[in-house]
Amino acid sequence: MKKISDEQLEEWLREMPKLKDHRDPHDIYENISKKLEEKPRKTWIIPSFATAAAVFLITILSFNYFDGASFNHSADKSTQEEAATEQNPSLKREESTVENEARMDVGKEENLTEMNDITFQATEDPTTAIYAEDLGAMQVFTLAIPDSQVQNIIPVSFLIEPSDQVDQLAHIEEVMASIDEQEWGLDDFYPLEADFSIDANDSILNVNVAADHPYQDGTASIPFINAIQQLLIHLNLEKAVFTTNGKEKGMSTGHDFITEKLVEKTSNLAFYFYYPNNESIKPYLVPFTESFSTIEEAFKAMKTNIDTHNLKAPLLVEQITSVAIEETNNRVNITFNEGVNIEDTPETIQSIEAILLTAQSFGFEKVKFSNVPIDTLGRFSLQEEIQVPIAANKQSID
Amino acid sequence: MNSIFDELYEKYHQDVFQFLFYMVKNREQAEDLAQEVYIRVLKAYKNFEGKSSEKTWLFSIARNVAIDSFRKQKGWKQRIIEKFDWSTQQVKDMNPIPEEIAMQREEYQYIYQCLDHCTIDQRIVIIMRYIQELSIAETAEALNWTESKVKTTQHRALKVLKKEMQQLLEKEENR
Repeated sequence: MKKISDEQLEEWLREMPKLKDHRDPHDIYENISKKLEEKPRKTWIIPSFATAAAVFLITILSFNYFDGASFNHSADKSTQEEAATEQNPSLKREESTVENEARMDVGKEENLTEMNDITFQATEDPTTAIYAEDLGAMQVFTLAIPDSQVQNIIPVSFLIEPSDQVDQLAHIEEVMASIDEQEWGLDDFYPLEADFSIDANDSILNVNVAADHPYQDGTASIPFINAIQQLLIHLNLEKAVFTTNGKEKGMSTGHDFITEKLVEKTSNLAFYFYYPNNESIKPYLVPFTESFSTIEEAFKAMKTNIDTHNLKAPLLVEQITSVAIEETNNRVNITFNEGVNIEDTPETIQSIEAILLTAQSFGFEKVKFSNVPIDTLGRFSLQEEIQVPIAANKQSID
Repeated sequence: MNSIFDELYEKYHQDVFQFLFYMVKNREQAEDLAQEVYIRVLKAYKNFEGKSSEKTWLFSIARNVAIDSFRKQKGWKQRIIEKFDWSTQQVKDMNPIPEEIAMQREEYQYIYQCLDHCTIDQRIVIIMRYIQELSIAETAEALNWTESKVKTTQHRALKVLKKEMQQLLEKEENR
C-alpha cells in the first residue's frame, strides 16, 4: 500500500464535489422574512426582571422602614375581628420569620454584589492561578507544556465541564489539538502523537505510538512522560501501558525503553517566575524539578534565581523570617521581617501566589501571613488566612 | 425581494450553503442554518463596518451559526461516543453520504467520512481552506485568529485526515 502524500490529500480535498442548495431563492426569502417579522421576545426578560427586582426591593425596604410595627398592628386588627386572641403569638412568630427571611435575603444580595466585585477584579487582577471561587461548576484540567527551550515544564490549567472518564479524555484530546502554545510563548508540543484509550476495569490508560514517534530523543520524552502523568492524575487512573504500532509492547524514549508507568504525583516543589518573552506582562508560575523535604528549604531556595533555566526568584521570600506549621489546620504561618515593604504591584501579588502554590505543593490548604503592613493586596486579604489556589497558570480556551 | 438579500444570495449563497453542509452533514439542517445566517446578516447589516471583506464576514457568521447549532444539539459529544463502534473503531455515520459525493470516486467518500475525526476547528479550517478555497489570510480574518493559528490547525487537520485515510484505504485493500 503506498503512502498518501500531503499533495495527494490536498488535491482530493480541492476536488471535493460541490454541494448545492436547490431551493428557490424566493422561498428562502419568504422563510426569512417570516422570522424577521417575529417580534423578539427576549427584550421582555430584562424589564420583567427589573420589575421583579424593584418589587422585591420595595418589599424589603418597607419591612425595614416599618420595622414590623405596622404589621403587628394590622395583624392585631385582623385577629381582633376574628376574636381569636390565642392565635396572636403564633402570628407574631410567623411575622418574625418573614422578617428574618427578608433580612437574610438582603444579606444574600450583598454577598452577590460582593461576588460580582471579585469577578470584576479578577478580570483585571494580575493573579495567574485558579482559585476555588473561580471554579463554579467547572473542573480543572492541567496540561504540562514545555517552554520554548524545552527546559521547564509549565503547568497550564483550564476550566472544563465535568463529565465521565471517556468523554473527559475526548474533551482533553480536543483541547490538546486546539491550543496554540506558541501564541502563549511556549513550545508547540500538543497534540500528542499517540492514541489513547481507557481500560476502566484495570484503571489503565493505553498509550500507543507509531514506530517513528517524535519522543525518542531525551528532551522530548521528558515532557511526554509528564503529559501522560497529568492525564493519569486527571482521569484518576493508576497506570499507563505503552505500545508501539498497536501491537509491540513498550515504547522507546531514546535512552530508555518503557512498558508502563504508575501514576506519580510530584510534590514538595518550589515555584518561580518564568517570563516567556519580554513582551509578556504576566509570568508563568513554574515549579522547578527539585523536591524538598520541608517547605522552609523550598522557601530558602526560592530566594535565588535559577539562571540556567531562566527562572526568576519571586519577591518577598527573602523577607520571610520564620515558618511555622499548624498541622491540625493544615496551615502554614509565615512571618515576615519587621518593616517589610509590600507594594501593591503585579509582581508582589504574583509572589504571594508563588508562596501559596509552593504551600499547595507541600499539601497545605491555608497560609497565614504575619507582620504584614497592608490589609489587602489585589484579591488577597493579607490579615486573614488565605486558601491556596487550586491550580497554576489559568488559561482560557476559545 | 430585499435588495441586500438579493445581492448576498447571488454572490455567496452556494458558498455559505456548501460550508454549512460540509460542517453539519445534513441537507435539511444546512438549509435551516443558511436561513439563520441571513437572519443574522440582515439584522446586523447596518452595523457591518467594512473592516473585513463581506465574504469573510459572512463566513464568520456561518461559522458561529454552525457552532451554535452543535451546542444546541444537547450533548453531541455524547452522541458521537454512542455512535462510535468500538469493534471497528469507526464512527457510524447517521447521516447518509449525499448523492453528489456517493456518485464520485471512493476517495471523496472517504474524505467526507474522515472529516468526522477532526475537531470542529480543524474541520472548519479544512473546509474553508480547501473546499471553499479561502486564503490563509481570509480564513484568519473569518475566524478572528492569527495566521499562524490557521496554519497550525490546518497542519494538524491534514495529519489527522491522512492517518484516517491511510487506515481506510488499507482496510479496503485487504478486503
